[in-house]
Amino acid sequence: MLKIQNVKFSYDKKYQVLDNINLQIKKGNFLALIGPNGCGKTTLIKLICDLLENQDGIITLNGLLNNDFKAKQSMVYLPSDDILPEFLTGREYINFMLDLYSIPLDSEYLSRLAKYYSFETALDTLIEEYSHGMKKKVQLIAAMLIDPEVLIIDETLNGMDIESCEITKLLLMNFSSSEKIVIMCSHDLHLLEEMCNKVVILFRGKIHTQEYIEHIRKTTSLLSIFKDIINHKDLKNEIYQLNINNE
Amino acid sequence: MRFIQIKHLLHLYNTFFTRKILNFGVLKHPFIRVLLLASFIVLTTLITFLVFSFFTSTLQSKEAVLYLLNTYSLSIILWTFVVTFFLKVVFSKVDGFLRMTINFPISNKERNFSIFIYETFICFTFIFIISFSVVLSIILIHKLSFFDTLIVNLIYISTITYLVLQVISKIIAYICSCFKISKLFHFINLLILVLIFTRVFRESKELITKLSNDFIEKTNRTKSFLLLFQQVHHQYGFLITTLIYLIIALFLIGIIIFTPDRSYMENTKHILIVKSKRVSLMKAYVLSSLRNVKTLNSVALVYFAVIILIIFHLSNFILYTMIILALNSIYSFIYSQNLRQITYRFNYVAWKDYLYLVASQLFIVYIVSLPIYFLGLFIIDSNINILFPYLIVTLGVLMFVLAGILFPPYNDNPFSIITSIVVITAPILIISVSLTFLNLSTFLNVLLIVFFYIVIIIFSIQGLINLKRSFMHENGIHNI
Repeated sequence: MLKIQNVKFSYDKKYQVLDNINLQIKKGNFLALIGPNGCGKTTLIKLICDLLENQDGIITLNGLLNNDFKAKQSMVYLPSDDILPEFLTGREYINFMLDLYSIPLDSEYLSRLAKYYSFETALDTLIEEYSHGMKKKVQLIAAMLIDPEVLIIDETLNGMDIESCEITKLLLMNFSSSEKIVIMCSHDLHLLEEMCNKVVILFRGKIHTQEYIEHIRKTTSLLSIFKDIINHKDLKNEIYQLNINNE
Repeated sequence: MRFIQIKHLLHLYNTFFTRKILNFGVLKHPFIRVLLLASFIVLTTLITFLVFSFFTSTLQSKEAVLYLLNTYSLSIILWTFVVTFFLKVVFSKVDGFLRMTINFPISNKERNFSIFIYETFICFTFIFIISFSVVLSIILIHKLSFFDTLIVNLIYISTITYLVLQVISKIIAYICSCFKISKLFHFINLLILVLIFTRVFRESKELITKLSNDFIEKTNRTKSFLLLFQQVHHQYGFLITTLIYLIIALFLIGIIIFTPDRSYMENTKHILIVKSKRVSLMKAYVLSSLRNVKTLNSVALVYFAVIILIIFHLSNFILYTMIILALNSIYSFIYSQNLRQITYRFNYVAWKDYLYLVASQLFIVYIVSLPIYFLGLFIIDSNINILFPYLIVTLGVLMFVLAGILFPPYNDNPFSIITSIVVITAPILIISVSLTFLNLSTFLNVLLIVFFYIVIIIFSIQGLINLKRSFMHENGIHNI
């Protein structure tokens, strides 16, 4: 279980990006982490992965602090910006990541993943020559081969073609069904409703909504919840009023 | 071609220059800026005064002035070469510098012409600074008597030299793109410029001897393509010379504008060499530098410099060419930045990172030096010239890795490497001069140098620790 307790964070000691976040993510949870830009999603993810110094609160994975080496070895983070060593080929990058996680290479699984993503020939090309979507694919292939306990994806599906998106959906849903944790940040609410079983909506540094997707589907939708958060009705009237005034 | 668009681009480059270079590192501080400006003014005034004093006593006759200006024009040609070469090296260090203009509503011609004007401006600013003392002294002594000669010997010569070099670069860029070897453009361009420079340098040396003989014997026998404008000016006068100059200049500028060139838009940095199945962290550090085109350019320059030294009968110094590659260590930090950010997710240790940085650079330098070393065993006279370069290069790598950590020459700033080098060489010069004046024993000198390098290592590791803390938004500075 991934436990986030009383976590607070501020970059400039003036504005609280995260304010007293409490969250428990169990094995088998495929969590959608959503919110407007600047609400603290990436900050929370970086805190979980110990890429930001914890200012307040505790984050633990199976009882271990998140900065413990064993905890770090159990997590894979796929960031939104492509921090990839461009001087390596895709295959070299995958082997390098497996070495860092001390995981032996499953050649057969790699071949299968490469086939699913139509990536066989690209594996031996420099990452520098990859398109944006290809960079996402190689990161996903590495993550699948590492098979961590916690997989955190920050907008990784952006820029992938439809076929690869569908394949990724299937792989991730299969991954989380085997008692793993997946945390996914995205603005594609339809995609998240399809894949995830739990949602956390962050708004102004706090948890606005924490619910299971099936409960949300019974009464409303993620988009409707979002519209309520941003006061969509009032905004709509205000914007339409602009047009009337201009006429 | 719309000149208003070009004007906007020049303004953009100027803003880039002002914000990225003049505000880089220590240059931000007003005190440093005032100090640098004051040093520059004092130095220029001093040199002008010395030159003026020298000219006053020696340039008594018209023949003496013409002799001086003719020989000086040869040094202007060489300086133009050096500055153009320097500009090409600097802009080769920037990955796709012009890619920031990719979505601007401008044509390729406008883009290329704008960068041509900007390079020309930088080049002639340097030439002006270099020639200032000489030009001012001659005007002060002889007023405007030699004004036309000054224009021909300095402005026309340097302009045409510069334009010819630019045309050569354009043609090479075009050929490289035709043969789909654009990644190698900078390397080939620099090699060819070095070759031409070597030829011109040799020719200049011979010409200076011939001009001196002409001056002594009061003859005018010396003829050379390097003295074309001077000879035309002497025979046909200033107006004809100016006409020829304008025709040639416009022709060359036309070639520059109309030759397609996308070399500044290239963003590919790596070539796939030394394939490997398993990549350990140390290997990854080595590959981060080795596969970079700039490193390969440096390797080629090293071997080329060896050939040049052998041609000029300076074989004893061939191993010193490794310094070119040691200088490349300044980029080791930024080349490995993505690796570092991956390792931040694990148990990152700064001293291990530093060790990998230094070891990877030394590995590359030593491997590249092997052919030169084996050649040196046959052609180098003394063992000092075999062992001493390795000591210099090893210490140099330590220093340049530090420079790269403290003042990373990021890819969007072509001049940051200059700042990195200046900031590192300045204290070294001060220490070297101090040691010379202190006149200590060899043992104490060695001890001081060892102490100095221990400080460099500590600073480097501390720099890496601070960078990690900054990446993780940690408060306070933690020491090793």
